[in-house]
Amino acid sequence: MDLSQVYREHYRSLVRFLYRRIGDQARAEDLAQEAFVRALEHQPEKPRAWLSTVAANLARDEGRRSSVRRKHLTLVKAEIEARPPEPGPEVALERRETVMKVRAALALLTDRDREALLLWEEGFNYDEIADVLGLSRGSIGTTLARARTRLAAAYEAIEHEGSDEDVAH
Amino acid sequence: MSHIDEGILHAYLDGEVSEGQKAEIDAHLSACAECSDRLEAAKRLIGRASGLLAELEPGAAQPPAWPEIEERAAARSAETGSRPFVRPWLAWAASIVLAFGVGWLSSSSWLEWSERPVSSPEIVAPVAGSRELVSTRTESAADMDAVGESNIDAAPAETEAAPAVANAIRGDAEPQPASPQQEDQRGKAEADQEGFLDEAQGRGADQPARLRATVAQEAPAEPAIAADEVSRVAGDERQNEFAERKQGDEPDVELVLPMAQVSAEGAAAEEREEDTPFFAVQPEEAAAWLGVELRTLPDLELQRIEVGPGNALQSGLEGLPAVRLVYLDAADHEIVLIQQRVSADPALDALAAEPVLAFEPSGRNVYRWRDSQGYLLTLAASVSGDSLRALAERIR
Repeated sequence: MDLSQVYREHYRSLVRFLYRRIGDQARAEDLAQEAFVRALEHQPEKPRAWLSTVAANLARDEGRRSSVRRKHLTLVKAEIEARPPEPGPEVALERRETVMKVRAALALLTDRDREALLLWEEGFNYDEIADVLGLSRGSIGTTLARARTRLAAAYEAIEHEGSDEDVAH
Repeated sequence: MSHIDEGILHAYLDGEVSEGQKAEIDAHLSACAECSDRLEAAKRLIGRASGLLAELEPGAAQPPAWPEIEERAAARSAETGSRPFVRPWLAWAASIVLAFGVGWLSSSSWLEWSERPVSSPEIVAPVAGSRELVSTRTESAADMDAVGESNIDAAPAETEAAPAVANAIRGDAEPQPASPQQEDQRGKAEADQEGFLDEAQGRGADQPARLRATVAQEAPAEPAIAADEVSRVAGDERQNEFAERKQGDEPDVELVLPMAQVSAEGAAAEEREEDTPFFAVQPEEAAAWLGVELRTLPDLELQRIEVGPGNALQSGLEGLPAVRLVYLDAADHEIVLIQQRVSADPALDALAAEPVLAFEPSGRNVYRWRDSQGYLLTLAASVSGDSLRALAERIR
């Protein structure tokens, strides 16, 4: 497939994948473009899967370079910038809290579970996910089941923590 | 009774199980209330997870244009010294490059063109510096264009000019002595040429044998010979004979082919291209034939430079020289850049205003434009229009 066509059709998806992974939209776009630059150099046979693999690696490298504190600040800043204007300050605050909780819950997953889940959400099928993550196709259902369970559970736990803090205050 | 694995349940809900597995699961679910409950719970879980992730939606942003990405890749290749990127499916480009070629070009004949360079007194005397020579040559070409197509019989005055140009551009005041092997080849070429000239009398005497042979569509295959050798072979007498014939027989026509016609000619012209009379030359020789400095694509591996008549190209016209630069990309596929001199034809003025991008149903694209010096450049590859434009912008 022509890479320019892949770019047109999947750039946005790759940015979203990276954004969900690292939480910084500008950085996600940088990394997505970097992945396409590398694809031009390598001319992969399966560009979409290749791009996702590279993007996942870039995201991991990005995570290693960033300190937890800086990452947190970036998350907040990125979420504020990325979101369209909200109808009111209360709604905006609520939305921001939700986003931060989801991101925190996602961060509690293992890399493999998180990437499998994000790839599925980007429309990858089991074969493609297995290809990107180097897993057997038969294990993808189990991986996704675990990732979904942990994400939901982690989110619930974080939300409960927040509620407890509110009560304490 | 064993229950359905959680992973299988999710795969079932994700639509990732085979028909056979699905039938088994359906059968089990109809008989197992516990698994049915788990299925409902899994369904809710999947929806919940998707809903949570949907909260992490990036804002709308305009992605950079694809050519920008290509430029970054090219720049990186240049920095690292690695082979530049190219699409793996560019392989076809070379054979069809000329496909949409130069259909609207005005024409005289290839014979006429081949005489043109030698008709200019400015280029007869060898010039020491190549830069000055190229400049002079360019002016000469412009002058000839201004003279127009009707002046074809003014050409044969100095047939030594082409080698003089080539030699002078190489910095040689005199032609270099040929090796014995070269002399043999030259002798054979001369013999072939003379034989052909006799046979093809009336088609033009001073034209490069290879080129003319193809134009005539009847010459036997010959080894390619250098332009200067060809010019040396042709004598004044034969040129005069040719000029006389040309004056009487060759109409000075301006031929403009509409795009539809260009496309319709496809197969036949492509076939013609297989027998193209293009022959390999050195860069300076190509520049001499063309009459201007060659445009090149940086950061790509140049495989060869060829010169040939315009009518050897699909929809191209005779009488106009074409220089073809064939590049090889990292995946060993060809990218072709064609440069062709065009006459001062008002009908071509439209080209000066807007580059033309032609699409083939097969996916091959041709992008062509006129440069500031009035030369027609054609870049062909099986890539998107944006990619072609990006490549075109890199041409210098």
